[in-house]
Amino acid sequence: MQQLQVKLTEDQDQCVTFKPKGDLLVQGIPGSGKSTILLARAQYLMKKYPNDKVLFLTFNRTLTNYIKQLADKIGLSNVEAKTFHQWAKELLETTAYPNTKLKLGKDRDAIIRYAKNIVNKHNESASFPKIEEGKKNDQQLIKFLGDEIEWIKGNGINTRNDYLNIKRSGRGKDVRVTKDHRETIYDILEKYNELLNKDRRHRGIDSEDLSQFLIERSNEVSKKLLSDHVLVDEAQDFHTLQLKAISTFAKKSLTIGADKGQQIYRRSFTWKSAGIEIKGGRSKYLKKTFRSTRQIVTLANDFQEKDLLITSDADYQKPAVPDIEGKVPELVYCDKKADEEKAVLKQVQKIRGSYPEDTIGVIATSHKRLDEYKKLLEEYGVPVYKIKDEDADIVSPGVKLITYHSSKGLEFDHVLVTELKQGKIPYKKPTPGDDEEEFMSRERKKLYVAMTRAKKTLCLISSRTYSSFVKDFNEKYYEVIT
Amino acid sequence: MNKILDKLNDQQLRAVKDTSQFIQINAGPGTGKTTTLGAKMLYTQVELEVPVSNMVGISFSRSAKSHLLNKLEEFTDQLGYGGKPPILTFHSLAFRIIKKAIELGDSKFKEYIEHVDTHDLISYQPNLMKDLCKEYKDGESKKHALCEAFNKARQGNLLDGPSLSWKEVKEDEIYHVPTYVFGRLLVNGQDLKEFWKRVDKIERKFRVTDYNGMITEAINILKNKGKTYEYFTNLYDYIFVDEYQDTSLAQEMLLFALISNKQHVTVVGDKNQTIYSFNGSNSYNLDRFFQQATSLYNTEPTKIILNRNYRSPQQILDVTNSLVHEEHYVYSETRTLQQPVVVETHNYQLASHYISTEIEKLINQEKVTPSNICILYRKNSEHSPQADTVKEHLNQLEIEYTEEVSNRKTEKSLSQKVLSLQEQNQGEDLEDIIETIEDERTKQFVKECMSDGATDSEDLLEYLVELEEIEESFTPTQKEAVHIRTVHSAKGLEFPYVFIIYLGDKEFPHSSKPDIEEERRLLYVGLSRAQKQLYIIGKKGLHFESFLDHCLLTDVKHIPYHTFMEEKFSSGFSNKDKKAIDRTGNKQTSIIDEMEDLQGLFND
Repeated sequence: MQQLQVKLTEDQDQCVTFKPKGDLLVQGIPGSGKSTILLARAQYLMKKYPNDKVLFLTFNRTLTNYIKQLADKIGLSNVEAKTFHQWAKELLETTAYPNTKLKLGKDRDAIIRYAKNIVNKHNESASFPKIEEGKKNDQQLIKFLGDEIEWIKGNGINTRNDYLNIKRSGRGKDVRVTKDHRETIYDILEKYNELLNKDRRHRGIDSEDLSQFLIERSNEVSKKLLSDHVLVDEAQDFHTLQLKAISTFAKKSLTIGADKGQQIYRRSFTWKSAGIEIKGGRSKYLKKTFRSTRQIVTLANDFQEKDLLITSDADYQKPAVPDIEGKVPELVYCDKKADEEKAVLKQVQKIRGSYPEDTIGVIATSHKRLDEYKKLLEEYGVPVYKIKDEDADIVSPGVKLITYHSSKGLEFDHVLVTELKQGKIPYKKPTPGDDEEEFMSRERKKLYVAMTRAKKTLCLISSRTYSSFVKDFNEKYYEVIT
Repeated sequence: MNKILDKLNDQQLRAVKDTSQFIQINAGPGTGKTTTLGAKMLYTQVELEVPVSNMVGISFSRSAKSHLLNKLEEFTDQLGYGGKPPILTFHSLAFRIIKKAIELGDSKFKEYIEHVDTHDLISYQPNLMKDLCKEYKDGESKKHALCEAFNKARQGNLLDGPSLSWKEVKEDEIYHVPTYVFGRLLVNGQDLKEFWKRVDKIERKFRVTDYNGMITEAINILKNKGKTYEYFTNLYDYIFVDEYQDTSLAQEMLLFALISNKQHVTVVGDKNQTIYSFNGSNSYNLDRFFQQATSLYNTEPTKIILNRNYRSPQQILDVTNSLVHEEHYVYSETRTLQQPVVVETHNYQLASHYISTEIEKLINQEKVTPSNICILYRKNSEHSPQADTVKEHLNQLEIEYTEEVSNRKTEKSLSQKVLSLQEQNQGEDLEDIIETIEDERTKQFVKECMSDGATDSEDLLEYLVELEEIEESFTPTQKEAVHIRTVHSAKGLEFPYVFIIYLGDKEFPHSSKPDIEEERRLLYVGLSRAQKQLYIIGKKGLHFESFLDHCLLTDVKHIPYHTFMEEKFSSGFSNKDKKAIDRTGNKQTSIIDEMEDLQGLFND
């Protein structure tokens, strides 16, 4: 069942008793109880200001559901939890901005592709940066353009000249972008914006504009709709502009929980640029890990420290090791894909045999793979939940299937980390324009995040060709089972 | 007459015999509403000696209308005497009023009008939207924004009550119009006003209007208090309105425009079954009738409550009652040994698996007739994944079910056929042309009209109007099969075995911003269809009110259903491992304890 840590450190103590004036930042490593602190703060605020509205904002729906489930468990049924996009859209809909249909992910890619094709057709001098040859060339180019447009809009660049002359940082060396390329990219950006504005099929709003317009139209939003206290979980996943929008609309207080060690998206921001004022003493760093066991945390920390980019970050703090003892993590080697499935089934049945009331998280890189596990486990009568498709209950017993990405912020009694396979984790190669070193760092963080979801037992499953990360696990800290 | 009165209970009898000028009958599900209304109409004829031609019944939909007509027929057959008063829908009533007004020179229309969908008005005048809604560059968004705003304004849920003319639109206002396909759209007052003016011109020029336009015009005609008003107030001495809770604000205005201080009006309804508020009705309709009648005519309506349920056993009513906030709880004198079943599951597949295996058991082992079983789902759009999944599972077990007929489309093609029939045979007697009709549906429709009082082809037009009502019509099938239908379309029906899917966030209550009260009433309608056994299937709500938890509070059988088959367990961890894991577990505390510990820190 749901179990977390007992005693608070002095750090936590100070955080929660903060008076709700100004902003509060709670930083911490995985399992340091960030979500718990945020929930405790919500509980405190609701008790102290019974008429105030309290809202949790997160980056993805799964985490929103999880927060809500935990809140229900501790009797905070009046807390609202929303994703950033859901919340922002609802507010923007009350303003006089005409287009409020969200265009994210694939919808957005389709608009970029359409804009690119139009520019390519009507502009003879259009030239595109060279993307490594491959089967999915167009897809790669769209991804690159998408990232670039996100960067331009996210940084508030709104004239062609500014873009042509700005020094572009944070991009890898594999794609060379010339001045001509920039001209074309800017053409595409203009077309893209036009489509968002006017096109019958593509009319809508993207994530950057959503934040931007919401801030611009803040005086049009009815104050009645706003929450008094806003708590943001896993804030490192947000863009500067998004955090700025959140801080604009938090009426009385803003509390932020973040961990740079879990930054698995390409983001860069400073709190100040997001309009968040963390004055002296308002920032707390929680180093202690509560969620897990000494054995699991030791293995994960050791693995994380193999990356110099991570440890050399100014914000990096070496996490402390918890004093709760437990079982040594296990590593299973498999030859074939089918063996991996068998290993998953075997481990799940073992856990279910001893602890049928516990939660089990099975983590893979893709939904396709998770569906395969689902089919197999269902044949053996195991209760299986696909977290994303079903908006599933995370805290009730059974097997919860989840991707590496969406596992962040969640926790399970038992975790199976699967697909430790070259090309899966780390993924084949960085997207065009990405920095190779940064990419590997993020992939490592992804695995680190997945491992640290476990509270009681951790089982790592690797199949051929074994992931290059596997050799970074220190043999002292795990045992190989067959 | 006593033959019929003897079968009524004291509440029903009171409702039938009461001769107050205004009567409001609050009738819960299964309380014999149609029986009471039918008996009251007959009583008015027989005992109060009012000719049927001076009475009118107004029904919400064609299916409700045919229920009432069937009941009347059953009674008159039993008695051997008595007739059927005209039963209209609000639209066919409006049509009648306009037709009469044209004859008497009271209408803005000079001759016969056509009625079309609001969206189709644009085909009469391609420039209708020119320079309007400039924020939207594409025609479709413009059209949706303007038509939706226009309809809402006239139905009564955009401005302060129903608007009868563009003069009531405020120019400097910006109206927010939610649409399913285009999301939230904006229309500014100036544009709406201009659009309305242009539509007015089209209406006159092409003698055409839309459905809300008919209601609006009928209200305008009556409000002038001219010859048409005189005619109808003299004609209709007794007015009966069924399903009053679903009447839109504009329809309510029409009713009040139709009555004077000498007519008798009986309205029947159940505020807990209001499920068409998107169409301009709301759950305060019955209360408003009471207030309006009181303030306009200084006569407080007599309120009669029917709350004795003849449909469901008390155990089922306990569940349905738990969804109702106040006012009349229905109760039943029958009990059953079976508890209603609440199946908690976590996806459609499991839900469908449960339903199909249970239905197979009912049919094969308990010998239940398939058509006594109905599966109700909350429809979210044209496409319903829940219903599709259920159908797949039924197919696998080779259980037959009735396919719903795509309602609006069939009705449309039927209405076109009838229209061309009318055009080809203008002024002919229906008796003469009925045998020449080849299409079965058309023939059936004309027959229904004839038994309802239509005599010549001209009369068909009025019935045509009714075909376009918003309700989801259903085609009764003779097939011996399980029913699958939407909750909306099941209103007024009953089935011995009812399965209802799929409770949970975004599903039921539906949408990401649900109107919880409306959804609750819809669930109430769905659950109260069950005569013998009720199965509620879904998962707990997290962000919105959890209907499943609600149902679990009453005396029901709770079945967790999270796997397709029995689980095969293995022996588990070795003793050594288990000891290590147990030690971890003992050291970790639950979040509830933890939060309790934390509370101590907050004492300032």
